[in-house]
Amino acid sequence: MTWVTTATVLQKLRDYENREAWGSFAERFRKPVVSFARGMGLKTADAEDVAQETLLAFAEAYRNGKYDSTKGRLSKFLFGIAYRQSLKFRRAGAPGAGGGKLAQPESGFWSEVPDEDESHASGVWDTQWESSVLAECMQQARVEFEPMTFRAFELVVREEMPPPQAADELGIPIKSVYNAKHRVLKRIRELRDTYESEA
Amino acid sequence: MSQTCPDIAELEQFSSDVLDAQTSSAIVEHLNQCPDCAALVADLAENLKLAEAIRRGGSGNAAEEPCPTMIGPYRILRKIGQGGMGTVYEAEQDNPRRVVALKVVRPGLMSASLLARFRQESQVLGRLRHAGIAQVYEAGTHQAGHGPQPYFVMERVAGPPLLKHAQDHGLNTHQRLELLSLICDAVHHAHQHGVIHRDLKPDNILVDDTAQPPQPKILDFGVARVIDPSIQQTTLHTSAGQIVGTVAYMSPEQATGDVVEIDIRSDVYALGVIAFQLLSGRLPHKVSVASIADSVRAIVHDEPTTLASIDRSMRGDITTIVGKALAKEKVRRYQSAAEMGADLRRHLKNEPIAAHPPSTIYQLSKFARRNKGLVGGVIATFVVLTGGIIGTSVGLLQATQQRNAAEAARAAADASALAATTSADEAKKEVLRQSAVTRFLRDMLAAASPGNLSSLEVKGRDVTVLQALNAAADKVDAGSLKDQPETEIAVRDMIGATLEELGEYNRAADQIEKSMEIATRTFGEQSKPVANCLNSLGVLYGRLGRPAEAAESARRAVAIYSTLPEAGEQDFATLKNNLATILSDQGADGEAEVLWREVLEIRQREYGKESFDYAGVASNLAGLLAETGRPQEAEQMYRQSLSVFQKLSPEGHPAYAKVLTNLGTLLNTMNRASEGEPLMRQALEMQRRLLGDEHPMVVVILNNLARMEQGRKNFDGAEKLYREAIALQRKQTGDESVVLASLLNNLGTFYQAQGKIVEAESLMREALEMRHRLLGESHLDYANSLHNLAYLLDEQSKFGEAEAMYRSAIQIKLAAQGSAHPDTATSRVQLGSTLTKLGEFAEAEAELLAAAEVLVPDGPVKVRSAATCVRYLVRLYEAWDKPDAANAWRTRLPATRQAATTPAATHPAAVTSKLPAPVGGAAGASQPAQ
Repeated sequence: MTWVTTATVLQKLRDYENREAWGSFAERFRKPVVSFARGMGLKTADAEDVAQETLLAFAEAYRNGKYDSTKGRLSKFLFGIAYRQSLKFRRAGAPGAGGGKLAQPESGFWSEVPDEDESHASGVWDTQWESSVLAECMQQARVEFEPMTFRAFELVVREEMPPPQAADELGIPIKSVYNAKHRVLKRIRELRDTYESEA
Repeated sequence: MSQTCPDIAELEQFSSDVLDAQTSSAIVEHLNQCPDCAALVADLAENLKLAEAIRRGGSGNAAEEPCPTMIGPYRILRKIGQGGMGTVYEAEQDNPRRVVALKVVRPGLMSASLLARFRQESQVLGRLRHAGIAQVYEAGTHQAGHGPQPYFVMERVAGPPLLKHAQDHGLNTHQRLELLSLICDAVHHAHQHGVIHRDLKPDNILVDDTAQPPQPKILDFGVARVIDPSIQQTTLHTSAGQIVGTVAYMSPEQATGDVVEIDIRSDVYALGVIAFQLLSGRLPHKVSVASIADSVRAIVHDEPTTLASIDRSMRGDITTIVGKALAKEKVRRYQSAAEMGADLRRHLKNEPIAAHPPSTIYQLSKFARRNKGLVGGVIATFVVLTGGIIGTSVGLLQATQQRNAAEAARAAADASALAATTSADEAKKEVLRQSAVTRFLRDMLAAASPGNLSSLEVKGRDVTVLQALNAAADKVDAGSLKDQPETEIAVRDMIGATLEELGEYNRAADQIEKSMEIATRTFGEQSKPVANCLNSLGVLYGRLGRPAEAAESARRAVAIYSTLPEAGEQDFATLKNNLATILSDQGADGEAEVLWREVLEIRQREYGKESFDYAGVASNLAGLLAETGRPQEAEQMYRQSLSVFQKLSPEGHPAYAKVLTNLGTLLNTMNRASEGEPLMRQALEMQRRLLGDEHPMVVVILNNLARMEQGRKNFDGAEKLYREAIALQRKQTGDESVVLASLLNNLGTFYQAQGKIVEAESLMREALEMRHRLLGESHLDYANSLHNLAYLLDEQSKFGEAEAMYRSAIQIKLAAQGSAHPDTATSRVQLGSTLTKLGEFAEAEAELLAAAEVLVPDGPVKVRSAATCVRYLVRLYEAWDKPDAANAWRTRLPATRQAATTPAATHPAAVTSKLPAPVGGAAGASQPAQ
């Protein structure tokens, strides 16, 4: 699996005829937009529509030279579009208007209460974006490392297992667990940096 | 790397700061010599941050996980919430059969030891039974594929979160405060059972609006602690948006992570933030996703915004209650939610609250409000009844507010707040001074019983506030505080402000003048206390009909403030606003306009256009624009002000109602009564809803509506409204008050226009005498009454009596506002007319020409007051047999009016009878031509 930077994805997007480019682009950015729209209280089907509209709008803007990476980060630009699209769908989902319907908030402690406040939405977006980027990077790291190394990382970082216990479970020295964790995390950081590089 | 390099496990523990001090210092020593290890530590620190982000974010696919069908014995119906801590489902239970909310904690959040604790503490939560708490029915663990998964089963509350409920139902302040008091009850119940919420926020409070009255229900009580004993985790495992949502309600001790410091008072703090947000729509501190660290710093170090600074209607009790709950130090907060709830209820019942420093005008005003019948002459001092038009009431209100705010600020024995602006010694002195004022006030109120005031005129068993105040003033005059100048100033300010509220302006001025003497002696002329006294005096002199002194005082106050380094721009702006109000009342509109535009700019810069402060000043300026013949601009400015109020207080606000009234009145004068009337009716409904049926502002609006109906020739409707206003006023203040005099005067002019001369004269004489008694014979309102009655007498051909009255009125006006004031000139026009009828042509000419100099411009005459003056000159010269002079003046009139002068000449009163000359206050009498 070849690691593709955002810059490469965007570059290919300029070619209208390149369907593969659109596929890479959509694969990379669809997930955070869907998760964000869900976080804004939309149903999955509506969230998917928001993602489609957002990606189309972004691609159009990008091809027309409206996105300037020197003026702001890609994620913020994308957020602006996704936020407006989500609001549009939420309004369309209002009673009597047909279409999507807001999820009923239950508890602030537990739920992402739908809110039109942009700072709240921006927070939801940042979380989803970061989460999505990290998921991509982890996916790449998984194929780059030995399964044992990656599993050690998973146990102590994602599942929060204490290193001695992880060492027992995997049958390796504790030091190896620490080393595995360190190597994988470091690689994910590198991937994250290149992933977000847009030029 | 040398042989002695620590292994990676040790270095990671070092980066996580979990090693003991000795090992840590050994590693630090090593790192100073080993660049490889130093680089590795830097790397590990970055790794730790990333690991945290991975834990926090998971795979990013949580939202798309499918719903399970069963969790434990519960049948899952649908997912209703999703967040950092886990997932919320609506589920059905078979026995007992009910729908519940089932909250599943995300896998990986709980260790084995926490699971054990979870089971134990959830039993405690189950024992919390209170109408205001969503009950925890059960807590258990469910065996999922990835190990035990804890869940809570809770009461399913049908209703929106607190803020949404308040917004959707357009709750007014009273209703919001009632909800808060219920929330306090629920929190207190849990505290009594040893359960602290730790994560109280509006989204954790749902309102069951199917209950009557609507019942707030707090969710997740104690859950934060059950899931995570170190409350910090709550933030670590939630999204950035939720972090903000959580941090915003954290007490300083929570924000700094001082877990052992968390107790029930941390919940009290959160209640303070909730109250703040529910009442103002904003948070007391700036929190942002961009910088959680800055948000935490703000909570820990910055003084919260005060409610009153966002919404002036919240000043006083509400600001004090919320401020106390938000105190940085726990000892300064309410010590329990019950205490806070009790204070909220006291406020709702108009009783003194416990939190308020009692050494202010506050206790007296409370007393007055609860004993309306006892308090002779409580009037709305901010109301300007001017011939049926309410003027810039917001401006005058600000004078009182500014003083009250200063009083409250002085009285606030909150050492932490004081420490921000004064040294510790000064703070201590302030507290001591306030204690002395408190003692004095308590003594005074205790003494104000019939038994103790036997020497005073005590009617029956009731003692009026006025009597109590007089007793207090006597005591101070007798020298009881002569060795404590600062306390004496504070006490006199308090007495003065209360007397002012009671309409006892002369006595109030007396107190403030004495206060100023002491302040000058103690602090010097160029001091803030002196400036504050001058500001108060400016307002009082204005009310006393002494405009020159009012302006002089207000100018001096502004001048002193401009030299004080510690004076804030907003204080300065308030003083300028007051000066502008006084100047505008005097007819110095040009200067007033410049000042108001300046204040408007300051308010905009500081608070933005969408703030009460901006809207208030905009309304004042609009009033001036209306009075200076720029109705379109005035309308635009009023509408600007109105849109701010609509946005900030959609459910209504007293100042909002005033702007509605003023705009309604303006539209009426623009012959758009059909547009104005709904606004006035809306204002009336709003004031009644917010302030009650008997509030003084209701009287004002009734009066203005009556004027409007009169203009629309709905005479029956107008009379009914006037009568209703008068009855209401008599109920509130008895048979004698300044406002009542204005109302009688207005009804009198109404009857005059109806040709009911006998009724009119009777009412006008009553008003005249009342003003004479209450305001004295040099007050402008008294002069206006003289003018009006003279006009009526002239209509009845009682020229001699009319002449005498006009002369008296003009004398007062000349002394108070000079000969160049249009109001003075208007009285001279009428006197000229009366003298013409008496055959005193030379004297009539002198009066009319003097008036013409002020009223008649060089070019063509367009304004009605000028036209009236010219027409009277024409009639004078015709009666005097000076046709050339008559013709010369006639050519100045617009063509359509030139012909009308001849037939009317023999009946001069017939011309002016079309002109409204009702006079109520200082500004209205002067412009019969409007």
